[in-house]
Amino acid sequence: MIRRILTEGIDEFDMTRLDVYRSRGGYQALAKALRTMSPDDVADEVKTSGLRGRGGAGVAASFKWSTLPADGRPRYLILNGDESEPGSFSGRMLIQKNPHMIIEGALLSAYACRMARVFIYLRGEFYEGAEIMRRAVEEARAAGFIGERILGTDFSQEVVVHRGAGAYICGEETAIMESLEGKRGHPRTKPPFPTAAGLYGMPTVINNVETIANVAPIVANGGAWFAAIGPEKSPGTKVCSVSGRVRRPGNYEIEMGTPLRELIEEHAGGLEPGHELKFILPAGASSALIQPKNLDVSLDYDSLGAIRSMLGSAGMLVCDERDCAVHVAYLGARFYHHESCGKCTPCREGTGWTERVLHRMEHGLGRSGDTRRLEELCRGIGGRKCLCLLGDFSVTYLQSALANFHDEFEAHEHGGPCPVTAALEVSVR
Amino acid sequence: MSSNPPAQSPAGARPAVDGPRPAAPAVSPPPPATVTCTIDGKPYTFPRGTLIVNAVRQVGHPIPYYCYHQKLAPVGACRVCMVSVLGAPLTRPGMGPIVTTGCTTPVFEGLEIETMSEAAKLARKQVLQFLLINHPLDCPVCDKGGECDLQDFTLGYGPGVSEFAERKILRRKADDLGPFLVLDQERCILCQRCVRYENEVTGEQNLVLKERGDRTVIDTGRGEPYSGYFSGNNTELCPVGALTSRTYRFKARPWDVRPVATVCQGCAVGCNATVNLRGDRIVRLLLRDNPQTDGGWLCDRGRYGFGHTTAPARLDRPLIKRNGELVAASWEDAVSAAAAGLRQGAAVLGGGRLTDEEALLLSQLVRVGLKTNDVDWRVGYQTFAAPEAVGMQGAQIGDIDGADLVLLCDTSLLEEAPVVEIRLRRSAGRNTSVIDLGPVRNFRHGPSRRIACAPEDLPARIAALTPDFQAAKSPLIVWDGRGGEALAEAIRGLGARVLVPAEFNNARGAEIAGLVPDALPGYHRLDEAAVFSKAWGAAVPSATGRHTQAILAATGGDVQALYLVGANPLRTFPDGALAAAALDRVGFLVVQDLFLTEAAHRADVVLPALGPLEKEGHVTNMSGVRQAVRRIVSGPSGAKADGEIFRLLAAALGATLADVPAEVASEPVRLRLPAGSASTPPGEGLRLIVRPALFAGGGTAAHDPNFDPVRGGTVVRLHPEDAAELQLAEGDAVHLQSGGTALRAVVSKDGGVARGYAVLAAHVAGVQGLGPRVRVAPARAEVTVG
Repeated sequence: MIRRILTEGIDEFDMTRLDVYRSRGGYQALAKALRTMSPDDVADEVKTSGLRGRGGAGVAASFKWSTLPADGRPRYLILNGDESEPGSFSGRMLIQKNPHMIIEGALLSAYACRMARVFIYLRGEFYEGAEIMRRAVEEARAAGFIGERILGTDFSQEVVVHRGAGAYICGEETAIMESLEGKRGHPRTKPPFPTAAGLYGMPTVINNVETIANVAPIVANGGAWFAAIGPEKSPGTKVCSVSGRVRRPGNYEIEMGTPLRELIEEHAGGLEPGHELKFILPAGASSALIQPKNLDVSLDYDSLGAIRSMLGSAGMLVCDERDCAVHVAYLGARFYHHESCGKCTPCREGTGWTERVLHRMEHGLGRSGDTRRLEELCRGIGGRKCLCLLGDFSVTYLQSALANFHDEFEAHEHGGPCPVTAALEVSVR
Repeated sequence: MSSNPPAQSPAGARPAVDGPRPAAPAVSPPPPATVTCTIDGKPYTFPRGTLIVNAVRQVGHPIPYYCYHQKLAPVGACRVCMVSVLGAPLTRPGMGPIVTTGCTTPVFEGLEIETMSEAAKLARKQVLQFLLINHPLDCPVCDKGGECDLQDFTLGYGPGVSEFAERKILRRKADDLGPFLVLDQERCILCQRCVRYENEVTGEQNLVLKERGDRTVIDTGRGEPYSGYFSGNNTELCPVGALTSRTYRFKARPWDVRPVATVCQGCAVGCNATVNLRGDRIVRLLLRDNPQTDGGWLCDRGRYGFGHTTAPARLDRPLIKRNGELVAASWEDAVSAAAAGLRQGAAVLGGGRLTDEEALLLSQLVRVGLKTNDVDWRVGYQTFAAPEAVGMQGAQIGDIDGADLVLLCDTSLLEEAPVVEIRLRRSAGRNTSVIDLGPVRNFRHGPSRRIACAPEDLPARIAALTPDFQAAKSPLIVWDGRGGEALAEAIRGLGARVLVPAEFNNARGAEIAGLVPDALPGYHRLDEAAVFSKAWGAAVPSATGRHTQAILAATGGDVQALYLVGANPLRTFPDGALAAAALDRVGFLVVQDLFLTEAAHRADVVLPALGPLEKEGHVTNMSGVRQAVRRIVSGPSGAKADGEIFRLLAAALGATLADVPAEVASEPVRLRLPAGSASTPPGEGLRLIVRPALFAGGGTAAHDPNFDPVRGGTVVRLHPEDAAELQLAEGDAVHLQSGGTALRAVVSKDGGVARGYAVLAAHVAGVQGLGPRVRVAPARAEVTVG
């Protein structure tokens, strides 16, 4: 079911304006925390809430916070706003429509973890989002929510908005730090993990912007309130991005545990009449396809994991019978080839090879053995051989497509027009 | 030679010993210094922190890798060093082994490593296949062929056939990156060794990654030529044929060449190197690690400075001046003419480029053949070579690594001892603070405290640093010996160890051999002359001789003949006018050199000598380390080794040179230093200072064809504001006018030059002839002067 916490009011009001955000209760959680709570109290509320990371892996936010070493070194908080996956656009909406909730959450998180500085890292293509966020930060600073002695307390905090140069890899938590340090966006080897040696070698927490946006409502209403929303192990809401073959594509904030069928058929308006669901590409094209038979799966981390897929960023690309699996696979391969950072061999060379094979298949130049070749490429790239997880992401969806639609791939080995869509009246390309 | 060095002796690895373990201490034991793990079923113990890749290599198992390099931090990029591992925390209990990269994973207690598991072999095969899909496979014309890790590892671990049937990506090939480097972007496997070297070692970032994914290429930042003194190391770090040396291009295959160990004699660092000979020609130099001297790197001057051995300008027969013309002569005629001319009132200058043995022979020749102590190796700015000789405590090159304070006293390590600067760059700002003192900024690739001052103010500025030196635990001073007693006294006052880059590669060997007017070999006092007389079997004069300045001033007087041994005071002596006048006045001039220098043109007899790499013996480096050098190439057939020439001259003079040095037990003498530079009187124009420049100086660099690309015109460096006041722009041609002389130069704006100074490179023709002040005026294109 729809449950608006992060998106509450953003359709009716201009929440980018500080006065509007404040008139709807904004920055009261910050005031409450600074005046009545210790940093540990704030951290405890977030722990009680059971908030899990919204960026993909679903690690408990409080876990990252609790692993920070108490050794006196400065600590940094990075908000990951490098939303770059195909079909994921919830973060962009929050950044553009509700920047103050992100800032307030960042300030509360920084208070809880005694951060030296907060960096809001935004995707390079978010020109507009970065402008809105910068304006919001300046407004908040002018109103005394950022800077020295916030709200007259001893708490001081600086917030830096940084827009990247446009790279999917910079959403990876170590590449984001390299990028912030002014270096090329390449992932680092782990260990050391960012909480031990992150940005500038200091203990660093990297949280998704949506994760952090949840902190203000958690502090305002209490961790127990949040924990009671949705399933016990995946509390809260998730903003899902639905795109593709649905009648009302868009972002929908739903309670965790809402069935996928409800999201697609009720909120997103279902598929166009006369068409049937073929598969859904979830998690921003980084995980296994969801088959129509699994449409009743609950939208939470564990339920999707149980069907060997992922909630991830909850970007849902809906495909119907007009969509050839090879075509979708080609689009994915083009993305991963274009975005491979090039640091490690399997991803750098393998994604390019994969795209070239799929490009041929897609353009009527398939050759015998191409399907087997793709399967071998997936094995060559995947299986944790790459330096970062993005190498595995680039093959997970493809392996799933190959397994589920093997005949469509094999049909493309003989060249000529797409045998899947040729039979259909409407061309999709 | 493979660019992966062979596995080191397994000193750190030994099979685990069975038996009772010592009882654990009671309270919070520190983690043990060693861990025991198994490699292919056998237990081994390693120091904690040892990377799997090194552990596996140390016990003698082969493991392929490209990105990892012992001299660089691990990066985990190539993914070839895959091994199977089992053990928490890498694998969870109940889980089977996983494959991981050996270069990013340290060994830990209980780890089980399988180097040749099916999974690891398959993973390597897959990665090696990936590495070749966009590689041009142009091995037949690739300089790396035969010593290429891509060839070797593909043969050893790769798939026999490639499944790749798509189009390869085309990129830039045979791209001249700079004076010495050629880049082939298609051959590059993006291991980033070069990029990391440019980051971690030189800090110059001349090579960077551009673009993304499989479009990634190595290039210079803005596509500009590579500019730096350490480019050649990249060609040895590169595991494939992407970065190669222009001088080695299409010259040889590794099986064509014969490796010979040597020591670079380009400067006084004494970097170790391996010469590769094809037939009787040197085709390249490779580095040969010596932690004491080079620290595992070579500079381009050393690596590529072998072209002089076959330079067309080399002297290959003696010359005698007849009717004002130098004409070819036999050795017999030349030696007897030289001996006849030197018999009366001779003085000797030079010797800083000889071997230790030759310097000692010259020292004897001067004393027993020419019967004088008028000898001085110091024909340039440097006033001494060994700090111990002037009452200072000497330092080793390696001491820079552990120094917490380094004072650069008007001295550029980069220009005078380039490889040593790499050490300072790596420690500066981390454990070492650097003070960069003098009229020109000398340390430009790391943090430093810059104190600009005039040369004559150095002693006072140094005295003011006393508190810094008292607070430092292991301070170090780098001073090239320019200046005089006043500066030396100030430096002694700081009480720190001193490192002295030398103007001539074996200055220290010359000094200890007694090529100075006030000491005999071993810094023995002249009043020990009797002991030396006995050892050498001939009378050794005991009267103090004259130093270079006095010798030059006395020509035409009681210095009737001058013998220049590898010396060209016209280019090196600070008072160029005195040097020129002296060579004009002197009654008889003998020049012994590799090339027909400005001095040789004025000589009565020219004796062609063999150069470094053409004779054997020892050389002493800037911190006193003696190293053997070998005769690697024969040199011009008509030239002779300096030592042999000294023996011929001695025989012609009726003297015999002993082979054994004298054993004397007296206290060493302290060398006298000149008083020091007086301040330049105020006047018109800019104050001229002359400072060493790597490719400008040196007797061989000036004639080495390999350095043609880096030998530009004369450059004058000016502070940008001085240039602006003179309405001069970068690259403008100017005349430097001083008294009656003028020199044409090109302007280079340099914020590191203090205001009011014009800086020229030392050891360049025409520079020493200018006075202490110059007027800088735009040159009109049609006028050529100088």
